[in-house]
Amino acid sequence: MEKEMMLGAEIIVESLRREGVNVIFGYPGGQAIPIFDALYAAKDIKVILTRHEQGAVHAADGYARATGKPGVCLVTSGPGATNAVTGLATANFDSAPVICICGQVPTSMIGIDAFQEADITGISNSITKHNYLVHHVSELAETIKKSFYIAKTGRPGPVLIDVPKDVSMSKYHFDYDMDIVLRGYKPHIEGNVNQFKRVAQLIEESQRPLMIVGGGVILSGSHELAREFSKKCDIPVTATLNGLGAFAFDDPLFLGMHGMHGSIAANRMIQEADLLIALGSRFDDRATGKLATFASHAKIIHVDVDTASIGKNVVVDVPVVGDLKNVLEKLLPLVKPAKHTEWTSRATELKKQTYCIERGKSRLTAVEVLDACNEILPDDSIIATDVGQHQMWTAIHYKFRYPRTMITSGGLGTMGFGFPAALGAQFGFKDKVVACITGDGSFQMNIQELATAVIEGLPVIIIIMNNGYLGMVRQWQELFNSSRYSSTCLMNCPHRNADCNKVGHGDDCNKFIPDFIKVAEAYNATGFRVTNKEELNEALKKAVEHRSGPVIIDAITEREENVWPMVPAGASLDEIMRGEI
Amino acid sequence: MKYTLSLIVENRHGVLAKVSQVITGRGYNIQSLSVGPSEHTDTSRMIIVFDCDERIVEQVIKQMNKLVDVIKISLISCDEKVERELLLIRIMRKKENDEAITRTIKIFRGKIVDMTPKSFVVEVTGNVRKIDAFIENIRPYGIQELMRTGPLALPRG
Repeated sequence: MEKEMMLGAEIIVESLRREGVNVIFGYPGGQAIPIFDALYAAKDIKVILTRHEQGAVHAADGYARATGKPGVCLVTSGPGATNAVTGLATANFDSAPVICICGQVPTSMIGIDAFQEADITGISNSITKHNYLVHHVSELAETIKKSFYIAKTGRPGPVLIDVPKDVSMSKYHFDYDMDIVLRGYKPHIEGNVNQFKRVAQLIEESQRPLMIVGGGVILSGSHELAREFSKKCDIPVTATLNGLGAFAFDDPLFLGMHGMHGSIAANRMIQEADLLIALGSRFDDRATGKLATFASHAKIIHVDVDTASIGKNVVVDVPVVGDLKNVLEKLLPLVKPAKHTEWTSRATELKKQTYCIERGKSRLTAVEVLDACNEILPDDSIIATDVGQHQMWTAIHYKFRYPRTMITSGGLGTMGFGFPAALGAQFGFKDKVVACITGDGSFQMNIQELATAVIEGLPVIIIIMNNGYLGMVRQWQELFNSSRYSSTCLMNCPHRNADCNKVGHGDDCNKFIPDFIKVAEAYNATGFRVTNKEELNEALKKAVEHRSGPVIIDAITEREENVWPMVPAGASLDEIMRGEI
Repeated sequence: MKYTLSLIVENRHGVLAKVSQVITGRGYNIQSLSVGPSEHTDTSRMIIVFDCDERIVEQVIKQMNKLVDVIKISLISCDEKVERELLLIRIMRKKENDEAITRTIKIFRGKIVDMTPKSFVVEVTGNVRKIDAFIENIRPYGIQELMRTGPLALPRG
């Protein structure tokens, strides 16, 4: 039987359908018109029009992180594609499976500096897991099939598919049943059995073992196994930023996050441990502090699906390359039940150590905002954050219970990620409460997506910790640059970059810009400004009930509250600053 | 330290850029890179010579291995490889030097492939050190221009 001929654009849509895609975040443009046209007819695939391509990629990313399924975005050539770059780099760093389809100028015009032409495959080489330029319509379906396979297997990541307009407008017969052959791509899944024995032996010999759970535990769906493992062998656990949620905050063996703003207990235990079992983490510099003194008494077991992550930053005693779920399933029967009473009571003791937590000041504090979130938001809420102080406060003080409930840009540290990512997550889970905890700086980086949220009726709660500063940079300036607040005050004040202590703090220090409540009104969203706990609690309760669209809670917080504890950049994890207690 | 990598890659668009970016993206300079068809029409072989710290080379190899289009990669050490480089060089002619130049070419088993009253164009093949030595020996007579291919290499045995 003759196979049906289809336009390239229709082949794209049909291929996406075969991959089970039911939502695409996109923004059209000249070279993407044929693909959008084919989507116009596809009633089973919802197209969410964002207001910026960066928002589209972050939304696809947020959808992927919340659901575990690949998130798809569609942008046009040139500026559409370059606007997607930050989103792709964000997804790549944190291993999120994202498919980004770009329109491109027709093949005959590539390289002639055509209108809205950009060499996006060249540009995106180092920020995607893989990319394709489709030269002919006959390659299209197979390329999409390969892209999905690459994006979601091994260490997941974004794949970009560049589709010239003539390719999406030519006809070819549709076939999606081909076997895909990728000679150079064979993720190591199994893990080496001989290594398992060594791992089991080291764990048995260890008196002070410590488990590090990274984003890989969540990506591979092995949090249950990791929990079982830690319980069976009585091993205390610390998480990386992207590992939060793999263990419940109140798990008796859980110590919280480690690293620059890690808990005192987690950082101390790393330095005192005789064995580190790192699962799906990559020993980021923000997590390890000074490498020379990191876990200097410990042997290190490192399990990761990405060979290149192992031995990159720390010297590893036993490397295990494999999918965590696979590896942990095989390891669990090999390890013997153990008790480390002395070591776990050391953890209990360290957890009592205090540091500066600000409550009861003249304005709300960030910690109080998180207290309210912990009290009022449902346990299974999904929290997306932006980047900065609010992100670290959330990591430290929010009570995460489940995997895939913390969505944050850990590696690239992309301000403006949180809100569009929250929209993507909300699209994945219509019935859950999705909150974006953000700052007044970060939120403004993708504030235009309020239109998307309102039009799509996505009830994301945006909680702005509004201190009128780019707070994290201000904190560094306070601690390390003699409080010279260069370009970090966001107030509508004429004394930019002046020494406020000399000029004097005045009314200008209270001129917030923009007025987020008016912004909410302008977008036909709901907004509450809150200045004390009662108002905050009331607004949050209303926001949780409000299911028809986004709610902005503009929490006016202490201007110069700091994130504690803190290990300065480049310092050893021993050097913990606790703030004034 | 100088390293030689041998890669078998898919013969397709963008592979060269992806591979070279793994090195350049880490701030290291590629000394030479030769790429051409391998024994299979759909794959190419690349030989890359680059300078980098010892602690980085393993990471470079792992990152290249992660590239979807890289099928095989190996680090070739000095004593396990057969290595050949081709040199084309234009040497200035002066009557009093002709004999010395042709003698040097003969010693290095080079070939004169073009000649004008003012210059010779010479080809020399050999391992990298031999090419280096030839160039040093010929330099006093005046080099007008030269081009080296960078080494091609195959493992021994």
